[in-house]
Amino acid sequence: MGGTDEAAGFGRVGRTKERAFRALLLASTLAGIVALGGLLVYVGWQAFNLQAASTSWFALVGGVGLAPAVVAAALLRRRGHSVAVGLESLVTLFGGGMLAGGAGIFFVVVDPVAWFATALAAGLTVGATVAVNRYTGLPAWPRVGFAAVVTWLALLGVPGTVPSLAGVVGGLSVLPSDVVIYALSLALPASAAVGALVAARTDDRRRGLRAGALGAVATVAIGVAVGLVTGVGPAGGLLVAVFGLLPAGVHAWATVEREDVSAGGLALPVVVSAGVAAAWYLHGALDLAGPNPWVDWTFLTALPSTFAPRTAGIFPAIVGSLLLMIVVVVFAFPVGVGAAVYLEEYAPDSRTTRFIQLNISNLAGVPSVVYGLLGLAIFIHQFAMPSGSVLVGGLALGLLILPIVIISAREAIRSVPDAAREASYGMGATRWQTVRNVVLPQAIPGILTGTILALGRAIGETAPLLMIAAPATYLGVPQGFTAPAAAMPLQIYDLAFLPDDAFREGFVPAGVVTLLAVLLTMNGVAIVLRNRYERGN
Amino acid sequence: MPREGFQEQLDDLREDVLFMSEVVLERLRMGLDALERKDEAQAEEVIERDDDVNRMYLELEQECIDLLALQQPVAGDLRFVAATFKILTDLERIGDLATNLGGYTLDAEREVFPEVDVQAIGTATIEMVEDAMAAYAERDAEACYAIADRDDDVDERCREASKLVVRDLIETELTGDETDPEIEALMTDVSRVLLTIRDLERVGDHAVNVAARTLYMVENDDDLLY
Amino acid sequence: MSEDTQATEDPDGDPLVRTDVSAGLDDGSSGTASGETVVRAEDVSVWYGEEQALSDVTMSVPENSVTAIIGPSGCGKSTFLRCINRMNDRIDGASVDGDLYLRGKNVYDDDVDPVALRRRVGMVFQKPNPFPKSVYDNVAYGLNIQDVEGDHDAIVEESLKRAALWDEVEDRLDESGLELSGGQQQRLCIARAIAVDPEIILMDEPASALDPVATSQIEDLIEELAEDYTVLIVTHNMQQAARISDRTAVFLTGGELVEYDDTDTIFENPAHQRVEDYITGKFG
Repeated sequence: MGGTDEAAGFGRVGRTKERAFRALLLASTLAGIVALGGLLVYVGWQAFNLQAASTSWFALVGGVGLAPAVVAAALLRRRGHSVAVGLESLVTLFGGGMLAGGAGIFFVVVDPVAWFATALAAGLTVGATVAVNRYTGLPAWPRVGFAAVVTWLALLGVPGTVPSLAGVVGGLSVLPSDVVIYALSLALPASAAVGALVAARTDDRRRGLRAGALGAVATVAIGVAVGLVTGVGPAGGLLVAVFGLLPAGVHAWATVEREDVSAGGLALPVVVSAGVAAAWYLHGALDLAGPNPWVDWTFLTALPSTFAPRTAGIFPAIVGSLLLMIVVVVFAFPVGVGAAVYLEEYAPDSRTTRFIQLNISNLAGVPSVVYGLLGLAIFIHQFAMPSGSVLVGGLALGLLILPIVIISAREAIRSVPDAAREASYGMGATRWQTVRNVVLPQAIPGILTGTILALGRAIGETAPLLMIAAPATYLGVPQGFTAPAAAMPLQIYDLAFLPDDAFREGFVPAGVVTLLAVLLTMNGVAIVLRNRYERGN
Repeated sequence: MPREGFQEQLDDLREDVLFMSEVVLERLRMGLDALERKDEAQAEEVIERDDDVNRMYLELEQECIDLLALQQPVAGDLRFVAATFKILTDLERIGDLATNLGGYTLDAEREVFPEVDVQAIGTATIEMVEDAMAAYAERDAEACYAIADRDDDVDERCREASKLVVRDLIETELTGDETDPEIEALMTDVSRVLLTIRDLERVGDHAVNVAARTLYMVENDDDLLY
Repeated sequence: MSEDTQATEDPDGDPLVRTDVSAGLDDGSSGTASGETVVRAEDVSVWYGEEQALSDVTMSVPENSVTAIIGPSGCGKSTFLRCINRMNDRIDGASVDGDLYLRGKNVYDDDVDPVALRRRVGMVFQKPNPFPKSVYDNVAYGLNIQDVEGDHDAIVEESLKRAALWDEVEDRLDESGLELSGGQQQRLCIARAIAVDPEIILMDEPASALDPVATSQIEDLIEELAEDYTVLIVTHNMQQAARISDRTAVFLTGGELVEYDDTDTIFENPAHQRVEDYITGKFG
């Protein structure tokens, strides 16, 4: 095959087939990516209405917003800093911002004062339990009993005589403002957690205390200031600071402490933020013709309408999706992880177990419509749960992703090497001790990653919600978990076929982009988490 | 240092060999001294305690075997154990020769030939053994060569001494009136002296063997091992 | 083996080098051996399904000594070890016959809780397997799951010292156990095992995954450990067994215990031809 004269060496081996094959594989890889990329570009173009933007606007965004970031990334790479660190930081910021948005939405539905009272009660219970654990020598059962009593009193009080903590707080003549509530119930515990983390990592109590105090003060100050400046309001700003800046700050500190990577990459989010801020300011100051995108603040916060595409919003659907996700997580995570632990660690290798395992794998492939039917038949008709409600929808979606959660949790548990289990059993640990001390800690990152990805899938599911008669377009904000609620994909679908073309060309892409943004952020967070844990191990 | 237990065992073996050599040397001196002073009680003691040396020899041989089987020595350690094996044999032989000296003392009837300085030869060979064991303990290769050289001198002296004795015998004038027991006594004394000289020469040879094995142990050089 | 020689001084009056030849003799037995039996097996047989892995093994492991089990691969050495702490229970299809006594109590009695049993027996595995926790938490693991009272800090320090690891990790107690080198990890596993003061330490080829220097360190450690603990070690390295053990058991094909005697007897003059063939490398 193409050999040359023996005397000239070893001859050559022909490579044409290999090259052809390689090109073919590359083409098939690119086909999917290019198709998807093309779709995303098209949707993005539509959603942001970029054809309406003037060239000077593009120049501004590209030159002031994007170019510095790209140049910074290239420079960092050249100097040997890790760009990945900068990207992680960006994801943390962005994800935190989204979480802040979610928290803001949560507080629209749930009265902050009631939340404050519950948080206070929880804090009291935890504090009392910890104090009892540490300072008295009581054995297990009295401690549990004590905790239960304190929780009961805090949440419910003794009817008739002692008011619950919620009642006490609610009955105060001067109610604490939102800012105060967020500061006390969110910023303070979060900063305390950060302080504890720092203290544990550096083995230095005082540093931890300083870090926690600094975190609390900085969060409140920056949050309120930013909120006032950007017009979001001090409370909203504080939420962004707690969910976005605090984790980003911890990530930055952790990166600086790391020895294997330089912290230069942290300059990237700074550059990006500065670029965005500068572009924003200049945009306002120079009054350029922007694209007037479909995805704007109105879109995210207004109610939907069937006749005014420009002012229609997707807010109720966002709230609905959020509430649904809460139900899904509360249901699917413990049940799924518990089932996975049982199947991997406790179940004997019998026919019944294999049967169960086979069925779980099958269930993962069942069309989602069937889960909707299940919800309809059992939850709505049999148990008379309110139809179209968040609860039913959440349960149906939870059941949908339950097999996925179980399977990915099982994979994570299975990836814990047997050697560690053997060592634990060899030391005379019971099965539960082994699971709790050795298996779960090692499996948690994989479990978390799998759960987040499964949640991402659940957010995007439409069919089950259709079946349980979730309202496609709901004109008000959902009032609670038993109230009917729309979800984002459903909402998008519903308005796509209205006679006004603007819906299909503008509203739908905007909805898609919002949904994608949420999904991509969730995936990004999952990746960051997994990276962190893989490094830690 | 790793394999401390093993190192200790090697050191213990060396110590034990040196101890055995001390015992053997002491018996040599005692035997020579008994011969000089014709002290029959001391001679008896020397003969009795031959058992001690033989017992030590067997024990130390077993120690060497244990080391080979259980610790798998290599290189220098292996040469040490192999050399020690052979040196033990030489020490045991020297012990036997010391016993012989005791036996000759008991046989002695008359004066030792005064021209023949057995004590001097004996002292010289004892020194050779002492020096050889010192070379073994200190792992001194130079000293080994020196001991081999001295052996030539000792051999020469022994040859001279034997010639002296035989000439003396030839020149003894028998008057013809000597009784048979007197002639017996003369023959016994002559053969006793000759045997003593020969045994002392062999002590020297064994000392050279010890030095040769020590040279092999220290430098892997079989130069002296002819 | 020998009595003192009479003389303590040579003719010059200098003291002789030794007064007792046998005092330095090392016949492999530790000075503190009391001779009590820690583990006694009587006709122990094990089947994995249809296949017999151990066949009527009878032997006693004496206290405060190192006992080695050697033999070719697949002849039941590890199986026997795992019978003692009933780790074989965790294998489906394993069945055990015969009696196995730990300090006089049959470990296969109906009223014996395997978990409680394993808390009295320490085990060190072939490939070092520290938990992905800090060094301190690794050593304290046994203390935590057994809810042992007392000063954990002191116990951890003592265990690490006895495992000849303290000097290397005393200011690294919070680092992950996985960051140590292979030899250090194995010593960490040993420290973990001895922290709960086990009746016997079972070691399944503890040095076979380590480089020669680390192996040497582990061997020295095992010899030291025998002063305070009882060690039963399985090894496929005959020379290792010769170097460190007081008694050696030879298992040959079929899970049969062919000979069990003092180590020097096994390696210098075994009673069975099969053992001699195995040791001289003529088979197996």
